[in-house]
Amino acid sequence: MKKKHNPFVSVLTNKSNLHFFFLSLFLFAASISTSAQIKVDGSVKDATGKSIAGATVTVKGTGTSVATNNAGEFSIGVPGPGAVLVFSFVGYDAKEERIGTRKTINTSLSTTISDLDQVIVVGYGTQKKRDVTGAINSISAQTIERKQPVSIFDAIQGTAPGVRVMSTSGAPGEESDISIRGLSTLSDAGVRPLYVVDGVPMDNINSINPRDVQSIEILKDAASAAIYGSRSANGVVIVTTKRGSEGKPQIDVGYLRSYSFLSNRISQANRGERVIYDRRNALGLDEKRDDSTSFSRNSDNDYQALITQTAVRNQLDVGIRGGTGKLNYYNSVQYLDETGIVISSYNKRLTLRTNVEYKPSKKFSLYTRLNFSYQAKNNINEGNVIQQSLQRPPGMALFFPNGEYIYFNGGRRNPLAEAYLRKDVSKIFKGVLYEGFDFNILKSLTFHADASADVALERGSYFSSRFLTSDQSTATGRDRTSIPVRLQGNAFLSYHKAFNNAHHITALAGLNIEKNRWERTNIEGTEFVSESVTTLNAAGLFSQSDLYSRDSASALVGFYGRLGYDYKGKYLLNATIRRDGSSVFGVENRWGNFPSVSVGWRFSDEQFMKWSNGVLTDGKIRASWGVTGNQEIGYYDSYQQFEFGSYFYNGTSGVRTSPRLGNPALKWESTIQSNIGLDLTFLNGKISFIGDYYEKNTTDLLYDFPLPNEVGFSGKARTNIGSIQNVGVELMVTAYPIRTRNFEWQTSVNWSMVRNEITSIPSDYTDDIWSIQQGQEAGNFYGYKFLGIYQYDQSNAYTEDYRTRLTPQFQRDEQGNVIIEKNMQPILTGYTMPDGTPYTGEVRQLSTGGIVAKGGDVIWQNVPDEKGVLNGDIGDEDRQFLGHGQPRWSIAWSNNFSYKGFSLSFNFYGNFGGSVYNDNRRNLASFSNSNTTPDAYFIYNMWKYPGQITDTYRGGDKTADNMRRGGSEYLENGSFVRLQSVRLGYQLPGKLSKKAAMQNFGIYVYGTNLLTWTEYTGFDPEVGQNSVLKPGNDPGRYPRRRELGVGLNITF
Amino acid sequence: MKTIRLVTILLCAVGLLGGISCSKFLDEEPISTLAPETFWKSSTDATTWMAGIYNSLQTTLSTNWFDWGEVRSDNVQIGGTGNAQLTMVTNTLSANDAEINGVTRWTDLYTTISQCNYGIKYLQEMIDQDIEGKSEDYKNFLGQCYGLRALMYFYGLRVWGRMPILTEPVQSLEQPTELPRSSIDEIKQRILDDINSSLSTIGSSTDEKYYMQIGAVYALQTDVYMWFQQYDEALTASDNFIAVSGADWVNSIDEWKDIFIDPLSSPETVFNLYWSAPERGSAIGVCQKLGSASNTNQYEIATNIWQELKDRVDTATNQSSDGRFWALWDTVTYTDATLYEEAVAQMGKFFPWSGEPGEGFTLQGNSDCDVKLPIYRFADIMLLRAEALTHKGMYQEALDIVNKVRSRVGYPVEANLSDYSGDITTGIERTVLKERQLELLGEGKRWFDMCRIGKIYDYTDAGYQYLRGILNPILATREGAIQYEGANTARILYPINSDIFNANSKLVGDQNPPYDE
Repeated sequence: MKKKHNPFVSVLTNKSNLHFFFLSLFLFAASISTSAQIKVDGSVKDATGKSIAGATVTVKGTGTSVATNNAGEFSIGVPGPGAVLVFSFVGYDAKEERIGTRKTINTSLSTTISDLDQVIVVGYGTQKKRDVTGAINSISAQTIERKQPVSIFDAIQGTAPGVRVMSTSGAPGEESDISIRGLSTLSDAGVRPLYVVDGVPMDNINSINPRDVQSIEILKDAASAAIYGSRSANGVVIVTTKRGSEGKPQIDVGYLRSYSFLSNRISQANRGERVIYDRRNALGLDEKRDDSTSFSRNSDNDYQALITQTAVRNQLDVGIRGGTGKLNYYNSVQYLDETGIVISSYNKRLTLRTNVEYKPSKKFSLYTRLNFSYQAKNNINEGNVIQQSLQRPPGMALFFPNGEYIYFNGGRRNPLAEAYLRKDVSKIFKGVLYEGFDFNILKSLTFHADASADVALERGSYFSSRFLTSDQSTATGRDRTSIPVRLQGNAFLSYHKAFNNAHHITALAGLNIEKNRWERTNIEGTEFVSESVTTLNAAGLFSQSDLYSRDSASALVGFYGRLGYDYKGKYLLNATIRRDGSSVFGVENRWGNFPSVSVGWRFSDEQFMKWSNGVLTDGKIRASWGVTGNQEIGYYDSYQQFEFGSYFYNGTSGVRTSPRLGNPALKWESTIQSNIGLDLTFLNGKISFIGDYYEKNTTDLLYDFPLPNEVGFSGKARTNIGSIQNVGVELMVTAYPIRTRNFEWQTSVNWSMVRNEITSIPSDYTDDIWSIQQGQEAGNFYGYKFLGIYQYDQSNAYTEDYRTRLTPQFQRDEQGNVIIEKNMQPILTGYTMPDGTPYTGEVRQLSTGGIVAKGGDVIWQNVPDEKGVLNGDIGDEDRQFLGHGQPRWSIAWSNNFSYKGFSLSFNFYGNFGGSVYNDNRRNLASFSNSNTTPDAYFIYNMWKYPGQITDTYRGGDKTADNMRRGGSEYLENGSFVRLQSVRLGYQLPGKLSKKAAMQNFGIYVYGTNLLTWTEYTGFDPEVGQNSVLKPGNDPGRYPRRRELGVGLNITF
Repeated sequence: MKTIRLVTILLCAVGLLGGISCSKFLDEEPISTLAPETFWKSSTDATTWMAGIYNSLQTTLSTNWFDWGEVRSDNVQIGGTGNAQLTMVTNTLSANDAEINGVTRWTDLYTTISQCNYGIKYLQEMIDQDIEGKSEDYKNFLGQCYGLRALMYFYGLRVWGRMPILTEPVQSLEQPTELPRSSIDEIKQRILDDINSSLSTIGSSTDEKYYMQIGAVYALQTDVYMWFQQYDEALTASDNFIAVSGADWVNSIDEWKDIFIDPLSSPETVFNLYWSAPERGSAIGVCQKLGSASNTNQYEIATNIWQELKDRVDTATNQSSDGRFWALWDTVTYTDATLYEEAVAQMGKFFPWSGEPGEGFTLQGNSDCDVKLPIYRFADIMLLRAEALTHKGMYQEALDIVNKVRSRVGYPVEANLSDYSGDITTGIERTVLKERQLELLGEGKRWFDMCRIGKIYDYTDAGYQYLRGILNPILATREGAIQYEGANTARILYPINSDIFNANSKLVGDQNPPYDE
């Protein structure tokens, strides 16, 4: 039963009162007992015979209505035999039954395929999907269930166009984030949308149990989001959790077990290949000693197999819900215990939720929501475990003969010891308490107030064994506690009224206040008394700079209002306004205004569209415009600050300026977004289409301005500078190609494209391998273009102006083979131009950093300077645009089949047009240490002799900087298509489960991340996408897993 | 009626909250940091600010004492396997090389200058107001601020040449923050003016050797005049140095060792940078660079220098007699040049002997290294003085200093005027420079010594002949190295990091050639 708690009633159209259970509810609540002459009872079931709890049964034309209990049964008084009962439930087509002489009416409802009457949650209220004028995507509990997600982010991935889930690694319990409609700010922290869970704004929603979720609404355009003003520029994600329904207690039990594996192994050299690499410059066998004392050469480790494991996930869910007319409750407990695919990583999570609604009178409702979660996870040091295992020579032993670890050898760490002896446990205790009430002042006017506290205790315990240091001298430990607290309150009045069954007016006015406080303490120590005690009381030495406690706080006040009007549901208008004040901005600029307006036209209701009635069920054009804000910056970026605590000198704690220069003129970043959308429903919902085009212009970017390094503030200054534009198209088609009594196939495809442009910035610059340039996209790779490998030393030959590369001509034998002298050099006879004509002018050679490139070195593209002149050195000026760090377009395709009790669903999604910089592969082949080993492809293909035609530079030679960061040979195509999830379920027929005292019994098998089609050679192409200016870098992150599992759901 | 009244009350409440208390509600001032307006009100404020400046000096010099002052000289050969080391010793620095960002960025140096600029502005105000009656303290602090700022600009001048000059604290974005590079003369004038300002206010104490005292300011003045080859002024400055620094020679190699391991008690120390790894939370780069208990040191002192000290034998006994040989190295383990070179031997100069002298050292690991690095010390300035005396024709006085340096560490062989013929000035200057090289190994002095000899600021083949004569043959033996010749002579200056240009448009187009921006 969906959101019957909700105090807001959307505009109600009386014409088709088919299954407006909202209306029914209200009528029920408000009805003055009509004297009942006849009592009718019965039950409501679905097509498969399963009871429907909470379905509304209304006597047509009266206000009398009741809801079915958990067994789907009802009892209602009707005026006479002529009465008609209307049965309705969300997700089902409403049905009418004439009573006649019957005293018992057992009916069944069939699932609806049109979702036009679905009620969706919008800012501070609800609306019927039919009447929405903004761009909103809604994800139902059913969609979530089909994906079997561990986290709520897995549930969102691929379900809505323009919404991208970004995770940085595949570690268990790793936090993810969402980006909606491109990246419209320049700071990584400012990219995430505002999350609102049951009316409580939150920084992240990682701790939410996906099974508790009733629906997720994603507000994408400004008109939908602007009522949340201050933090809505990146869209708003509204999560609504489940409620209890009237009836006997219903107990849900679920159990799931799954096994996960490394989804993609990457190329890694084995010992034999390493020997080939070591012997690259000399023929013959490895002459170095390899007797039993040489532990560097006696193994052949498959590190990827050694550091990974079959990960196991166990999940148990227990929920109880039920209620009476005055009170309903939803309780759930979930315990999740999973190990990661990298050894010693794990994640445990316990979530508890209680939602209680109490209605002591018709006018008054009380809501209490409690949510508690506990999470513990061990974080793997990716650099020391994963990256080191890829670097370490395969021949190097991991253990001494006596079984002890070889901890640290030749600069390489032991990845097993690192995984087992470095403990980095994060524990999060989080509680959200919410109290709210509704008071119906008049039938059309409701007052609502709520207050909530979101309190967390985050503990980080870190311990690194002394054996992990190179001299095995001392252990180090850290103990960190953060307490973020958010107190929040809302009060608003909402009004709705219909006039003459044609004009509908809604209005809303309210106030929101919020206080945030963040406290942190930190202890770090070394010289532990014992390795076996890892708490900090065992530390013998504490670093003064690392002992501290710090507090910070912020506050927010907002006033908001909304006005909605529609005429017969045909012409729709919504306007909102919000005024926000935030403590993070300069005193003069704290307040910002965020207006929006949206209109809709249901052209399918017009007379002139009558011809299309049989095909086009519903058609609506939407247009919206609005301003949204972003305030995701440090609490005190507007203040000048003097700092202390980590600036000691000779026993005195020093004071100095904060590394950041405060900016008292700091103000809101604002995004103006226009959206045009088209919603079409054909054949009663058999096919539906949603299309949107938007333009987002963000100005006064909260930009971390790199101050001149001479002014003494290394940490930049926050300023409002520059602007950025995102333009995109989103399309979504949902269809029921087959729909019979027993068999149903639902399919949905969504496609989205976004183009981003930095429209103004004070000065262009290059940050590492990315360029930040006016008129270009953010996150473009900028570096050196790889053109190939010089065959011979003499192949590095250019005309005087460096424009043309010459072809060297060598003395050849009768067979035409180039003669190589004893000194490993061919005999040069001259040069020719590419067209074969001899060249007699001066021959120039390219150099890098003063070093002339030789055979086996990379041919870099020489780029002319502003004057069009080429110079002979490959340097900074030779960098150029190489690719996009962000995907350019995305597609997702989901399918659901059901046949009697069986159901099958699978989802694909893919991102296209982005590149990934495979820095891990570059690092392995950069010879930064004699103990790093390039991958097997590199070893076999590296240039070894004059004349060799290959695409891989010579091994072991650093002088020509062939492996320079930014070289395009390591920039790979990041496009991919992924089979994200498959789930096959079977539901026992109602009759059978009833016999076992169960209402419902279902089992399922599922798999996630089963297949990925990509050209990318690293672990996974989805990397580092949540960085705006520096996306798509892959240094060798925690790899993704492939999961297979089975589960069971029982309802008593 | 009831409902209407309720609505009215509610609306009023909303209005009240909104209209009246909002601005107060939104006042969230920093909790764990200080507002600048509340500072500079007590003597504690002054003391803590000075600690902040010296902490910033630590940051600036933690590794750069070596990367700016020594690594590119003939003292150093590569030890570890890192790319950054290879870049430094092959003279292939570039502005956009992430591995040497810390070397080519001047951010930390200017942070220290900025802290000094604040001190100079506000300490003067505290003196004017005579807060808590402690003006004398503030004056001493003010003198230190001027001295440290001069020291920072002097480093910048030597590393990058022309530098932007900032003398006012930047307190708001409204202030002009983008400045172009000033000329060498302007920077020189700034440094000399700051030294004079420092001398006019700084206290006369000589026992706070972890702070820049009057002796260190005169030492800096001597150093600056020597850089510009103004020998008369250098002699005056060193006269003043001798008069006020309270420093004097040590008398044995054991006492010499104390300069580094017990600087407060040594008569030869003048200004050492204090360091405590637990206090600071990070270690000084001495171990990482030259001798570590935990890792292979990145660099090794060149084998020929090791050999030179080993070869300083007492003609009477034919034994190595320069105490610095075993004060610097484990002479029991490394008995010949091949062993020494292959082992990437550690330099134990800054660490106590672990047993008998010569038997090795109690080294520290990279992460707990807390060497109290000398910035200026007596022998340093005395040898600069010897050089100045040489140039003023006072050869014997110059040689006396050299011989004193030698005899105090047990090396009895004296340099005599009669040993020199032809260009006596250059001959003795080279003797002094050699003695400086051996005396100050690993203290970040040698590169600057090489730079300031001969014709400086001339980046043609006519300039820097001393440096080029020594280094080019060495670079010729290193694979992929660039020699100082033609346009590459100008590589004597360091590149300005690419980031610097991103943030200051006034610098664009003003990179040190031949480097790219």
